[in-house]
Amino acid sequence: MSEEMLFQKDDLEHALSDNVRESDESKYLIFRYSDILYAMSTDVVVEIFTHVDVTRIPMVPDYIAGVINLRGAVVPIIDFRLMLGRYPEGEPCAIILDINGVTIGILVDTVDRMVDISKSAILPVPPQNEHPMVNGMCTIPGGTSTVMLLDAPALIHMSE
Amino acid sequence: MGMGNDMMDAYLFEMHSMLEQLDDLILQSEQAKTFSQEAVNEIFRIMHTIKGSSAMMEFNSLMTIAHRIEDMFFVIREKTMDAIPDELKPNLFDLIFESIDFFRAEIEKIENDQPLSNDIDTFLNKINTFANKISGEGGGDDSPAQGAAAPEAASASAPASGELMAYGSASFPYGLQVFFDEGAGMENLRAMMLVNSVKEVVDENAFDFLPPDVQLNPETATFIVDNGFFLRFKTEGDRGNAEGAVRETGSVREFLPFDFAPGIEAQAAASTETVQAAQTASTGSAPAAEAPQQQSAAAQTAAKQQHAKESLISVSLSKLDTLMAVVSEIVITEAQVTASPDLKGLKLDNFTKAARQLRSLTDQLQDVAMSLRMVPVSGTFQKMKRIVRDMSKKLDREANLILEGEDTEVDKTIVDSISDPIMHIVRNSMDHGIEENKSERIAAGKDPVGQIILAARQTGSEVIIEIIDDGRGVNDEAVLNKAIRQGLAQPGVDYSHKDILNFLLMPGFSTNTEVTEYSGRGVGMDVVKSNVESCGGTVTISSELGKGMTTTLKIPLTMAIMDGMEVSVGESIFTVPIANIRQIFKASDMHIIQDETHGEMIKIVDNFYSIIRAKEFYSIAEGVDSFNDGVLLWVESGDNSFCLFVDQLIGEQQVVVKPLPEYVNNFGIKNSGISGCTILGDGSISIILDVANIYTAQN
Repeated sequence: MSEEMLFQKDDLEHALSDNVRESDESKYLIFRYSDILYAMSTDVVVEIFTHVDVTRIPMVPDYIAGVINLRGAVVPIIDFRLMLGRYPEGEPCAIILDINGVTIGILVDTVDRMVDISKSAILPVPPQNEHPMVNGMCTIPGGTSTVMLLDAPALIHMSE
Repeated sequence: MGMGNDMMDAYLFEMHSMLEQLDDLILQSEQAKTFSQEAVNEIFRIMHTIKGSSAMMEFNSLMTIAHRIEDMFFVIREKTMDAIPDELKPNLFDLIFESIDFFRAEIEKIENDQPLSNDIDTFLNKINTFANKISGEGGGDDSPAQGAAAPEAASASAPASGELMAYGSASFPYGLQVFFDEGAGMENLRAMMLVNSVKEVVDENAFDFLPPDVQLNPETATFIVDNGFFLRFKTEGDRGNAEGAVRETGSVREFLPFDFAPGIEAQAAASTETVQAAQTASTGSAPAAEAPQQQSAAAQTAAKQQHAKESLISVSLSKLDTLMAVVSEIVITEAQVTASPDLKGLKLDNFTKAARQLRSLTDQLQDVAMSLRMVPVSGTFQKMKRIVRDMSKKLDREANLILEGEDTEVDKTIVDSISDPIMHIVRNSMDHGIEENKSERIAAGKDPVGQIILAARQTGSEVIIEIIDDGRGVNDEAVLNKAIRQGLAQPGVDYSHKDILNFLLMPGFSTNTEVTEYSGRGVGMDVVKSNVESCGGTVTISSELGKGMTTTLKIPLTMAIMDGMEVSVGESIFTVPIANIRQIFKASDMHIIQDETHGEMIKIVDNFYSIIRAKEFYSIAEGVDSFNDGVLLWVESGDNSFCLFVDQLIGEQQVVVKPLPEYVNNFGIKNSGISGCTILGDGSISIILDVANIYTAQN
């Protein structure tokens, strides 16, 4: 009887610590352009395309690649590479995001993989390297490469 | 507050329609200078309902005011209008109008999630004083509040037990018949609340209720008023528990237990069926033959009444939008399927036949879906009556408002966006148009009473709304001087009559030197213009000094689907609305006239028109440069006419207009003539051009 109780308590503690870990860690999608890795919280990622047929819109800044037809919905596409001031190379991938109800797509060079990043591992960007769309950086767990964490809402605020 | 949204929507909808009804009723009565007994009864009834529903929603300010007015009308109902001295009657009308405005203001606060007024004492006192005056005049000393509050329970006798049995059920033999307070309003939702509170004490599967669709079908309210609401339980114990819950629920007047007796369930089914038949409001389909003789007469009368007045249902606009979106997709998909490149070269007789049938059906579906969004302009027009009435009193000018073509139907979104412009123009007509003194009108040989005509009519593709007044008309000289003072016009330049009228539509123009309550805020006609243009329409003014002024709004009938001409420039595809295209033609470079500032023009018939190259206008890299290789579209919107140069025509197509994403619109592309987009049959996106804005942007 008492042994059983002990087990239960153990289980409970285990479950609790699991919970704590879950709330601390969140999944990020890593994508690449040039040699830099960027990470975007998967909470906002809807889907990923490899081939996109973008319709250009006149009279908008260069970094807006245009709009696409996503199953009947017209979705704006930002060329993320141009937004950061670099010229795109090669066939891009499109990542469709839902940021607070606004659907928007971004073009990137390649999509890398998904990783779990714990909140405590995220470090601030040094003031000299600050960028309005990057809100932190961290080293990928178990690896040597460093990623820049993108601030999703900042993407849509760029136009306002 | 814990209330469901459905309930709030129903409340707001009910309030809006009752206030409109009230407005109308009082306007009519004011013309007759008295209330008929029916009008008094109707007002009494409306106030009673407002009181009841507001109390249920816990909107105390609304409830209190409605209660007082109800009391007052109780007295009037007893004594009849004859007992009220003539000199008090205008005050009575004003008072009711004031209360309507009060209700409206409160409702608006509710809609905007703002707190309601706490300080209603002043208004309350006003009503009380007036009520005392009336009852004082009559000499009587009866207490109105008491009389009004007493429910007329006796008049609604409970149905005989035989009829009660008809609502029993073998699986749920223990019944409870519930009646709500007389005139409580929204009985169906009250019933739903009742069901919810019963669910707390009785298992959901251990009881059912009749009518079964109270939550979704507001028409069941009539049935409940006439026959009561039926709760049916599996066991007597459950019924006992439920009785407690029912007793504690608000607005329940009485409830009667009844037990199921076998052998009459068939009748029960039949009478349920009749109720449902009434609800669907399909005449003739009611199974009259099957309905047994014993069926309650009340249910039959209810059915008839529902046929008469409940042939309309209210549907949320978002549902219609979704429907419209789906239908639009179907139309496009249909074209994709039947014109699929995979079918090329195949001889498919049956397929072609079926495809043709599908085509005609989707066309019909589209027409029906579009017509659902159409509402008559009468609602908007009726509101103007009140505005003219109020302003007549305030400005002490007499004017009649004449409505024409109220039945004209336009898209719901258009009705919403033209309501303010029309109001503004009508106010302008009252304020600036109609002469201040009757003598002025008589001297000009006009009827001493001014006239404003509000007319709507339809042409093939447009709705035309005209606001015509027979007032002073526009004084060109005064307007021009004002325009010069405001820096809108250049002194010494010769302006035509038309140019001068156009100044009235410019931002920051207001002819009244003093700002009045009603117009002349300087944000008048230009707002009218931009509102109307936002739904693709145009505003024009014509006027003759001394004769009056006519403002014409032209609005395209439907916006969601339109006929477009697909054109290409480089790799981009654009849609130009067919309605804007006057002519399409080819020209050679030698026909083009160059002016000094590199502007290009072309002569069509007897006039010169400027040319806008889409390629240059939109800085598109690819595309043709020589006129020999491209096509000119002679386009027109309002007073602007010009030629648009594009690479080539792709073809005419019916397109579904979609707005561009907000993100993209934020860059102000609307001002560059990009009004929206559409998805073509092959899934690619075409940009819809707004001819008027291209012209404005170019100049």
